[in-house]
Amino acid sequence: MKRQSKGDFIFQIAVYVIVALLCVMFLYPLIYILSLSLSSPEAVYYGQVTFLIKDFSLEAYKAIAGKMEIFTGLWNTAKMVVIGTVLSLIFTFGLAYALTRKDLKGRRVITALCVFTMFFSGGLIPLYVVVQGIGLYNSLWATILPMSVSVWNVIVVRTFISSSIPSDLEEAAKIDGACDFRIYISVIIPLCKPVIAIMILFYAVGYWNSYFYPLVFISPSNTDAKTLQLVLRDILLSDGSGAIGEDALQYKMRAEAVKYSSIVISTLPILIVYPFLARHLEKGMMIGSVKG
Amino acid sequence: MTEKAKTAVAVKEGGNAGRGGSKKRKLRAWYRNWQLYLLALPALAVIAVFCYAPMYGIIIAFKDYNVIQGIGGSPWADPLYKHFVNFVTDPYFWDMLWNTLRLSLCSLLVFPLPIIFALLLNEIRVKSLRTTVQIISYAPYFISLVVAVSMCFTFLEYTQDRIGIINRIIRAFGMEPVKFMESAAWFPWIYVLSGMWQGLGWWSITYVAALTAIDPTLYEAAEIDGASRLRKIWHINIPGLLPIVSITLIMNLGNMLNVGFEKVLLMQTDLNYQSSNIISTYVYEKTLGSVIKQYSYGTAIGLFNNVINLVLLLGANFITKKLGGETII
Repeated sequence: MKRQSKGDFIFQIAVYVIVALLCVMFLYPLIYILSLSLSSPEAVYYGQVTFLIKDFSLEAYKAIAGKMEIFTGLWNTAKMVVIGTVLSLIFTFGLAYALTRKDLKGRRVITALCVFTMFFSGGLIPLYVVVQGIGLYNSLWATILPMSVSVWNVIVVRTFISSSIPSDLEEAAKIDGACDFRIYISVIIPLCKPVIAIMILFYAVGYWNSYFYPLVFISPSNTDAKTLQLVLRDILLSDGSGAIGEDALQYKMRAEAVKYSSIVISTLPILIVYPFLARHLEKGMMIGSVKG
Repeated sequence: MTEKAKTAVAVKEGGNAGRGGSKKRKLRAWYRNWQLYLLALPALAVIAVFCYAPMYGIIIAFKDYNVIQGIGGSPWADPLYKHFVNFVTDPYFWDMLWNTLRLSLCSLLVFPLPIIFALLLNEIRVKSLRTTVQIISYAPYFISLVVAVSMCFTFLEYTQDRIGIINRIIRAFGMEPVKFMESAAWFPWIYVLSGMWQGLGWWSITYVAALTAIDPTLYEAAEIDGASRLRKIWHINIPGLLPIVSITLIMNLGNMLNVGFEKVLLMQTDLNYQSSNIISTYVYEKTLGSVIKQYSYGTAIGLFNNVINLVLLLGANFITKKLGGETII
């Protein structure tokens, strides 16, 4: 092994110490919330939990079972994620592939028009008026369609296709008599697997966490259409101060406990799935940072 | 038909095609790729409806819009720029502008942190360890804003019967607990630091990727010259990152006034309103969040916001170009 100078050795130690501290910083809040959700409501309410579970109890999770709105929210969000991600993939890859083809007339104009939308938009109200005008207000589609195409993702996919799929393959398929659809389905898509994984992650997480469109396009009185994030906001950012009388304290404790179990329930699906897709992330971001 | 006649017909047809050809050929070039256009169509339709149609809707800013008469039927504002004047003379105008800029400036202040984190990651020589750290560091990014904001409230809580963990630590050091979430002074820092917690790992990805692309012979040369690790970072890694840093910086400048609307709205309380009232939340407050929806006023404010953003972006891009740096346009 190569000898390290003393300075480099100290430097290496410093790097590890700082990185370790940062990891604690990233993980501590997550573990803390998990511990809160699994501790007894009393311990949570009186701030006796600092890191590990105190007086293990599933009270908080039982309390959730009585909250129908969480399940309505989960169901609506699940629909949004599944339908939205499928649509987004179809839309994004279709446009991205078309834009890689040099023989496509108007390619530059289309690209410019798409990129422009990244830097300028009509603003909240015109969008609201449009959504209401085409009759999407208060529907699932209003929460899906406006965010179904991310121009940034289109550029990432386009760059991936044109940089890592040799055009000879397309030429060969063309000589064999394949039409554009055929090339797209049988040649391009199978070679796009890594970038498909990344796009699924980006879009699915985007839909799962989306708050803006449901907030703006789902009317507050329409409780059946509320998505998970809207329900969460109602639960998390209320302090249960409405309660009065003898049961008030009990009620407050319960409200506090439910907060943490609902955070865990709503966040766990993502945190479980994401490490499996994470190894593709760096590659995807690298493609995105190449100037298109 | 004789052989000769056949050739004549063929020549005639060929000739015809040649004459009317330039137009026809052009049409054919469009037609030949119809399948490609069909593939692109859904996405283009979405962009047209949800990005370009609202741009037409900008004229609402110059009208006295009402829902019944619609965009076309509503009368023009008198004078046309009425709503803009109203905004600039709004008692909250300067507060809002300053609050928005302050949040952006605070974000700009912590802009180098992901770069430093990427440099640190690059110094971890054990690959599996580095991957683990990266996966851990991205995790907070996948937490929704609603949850992240509520975690801020939990951690920073300080009411008469409940004290959050941060305040417990502060008290353990013998200092006075702070009502963070109700403090206008603390608001920008909570906003920025909680954002950093979520984004530090994520934003470092591009820099990490750029670092792996640096030519290894540079390190070998530095090795021979006997450079220390810190010197290598200073002379090789940081210059290697500059192009990508300049691009991200331009993008950030172009979004100066696009401060995360959702997050600020979630963090807003009556007590921190003084510094959490920013342009985009004000638009929401005056329109969709209110009983009397001032559509035209809201549109005008939004337009004001977007135009300034565009100008900042182009300006930053122009300056970088003059300085010879990497640009986006």
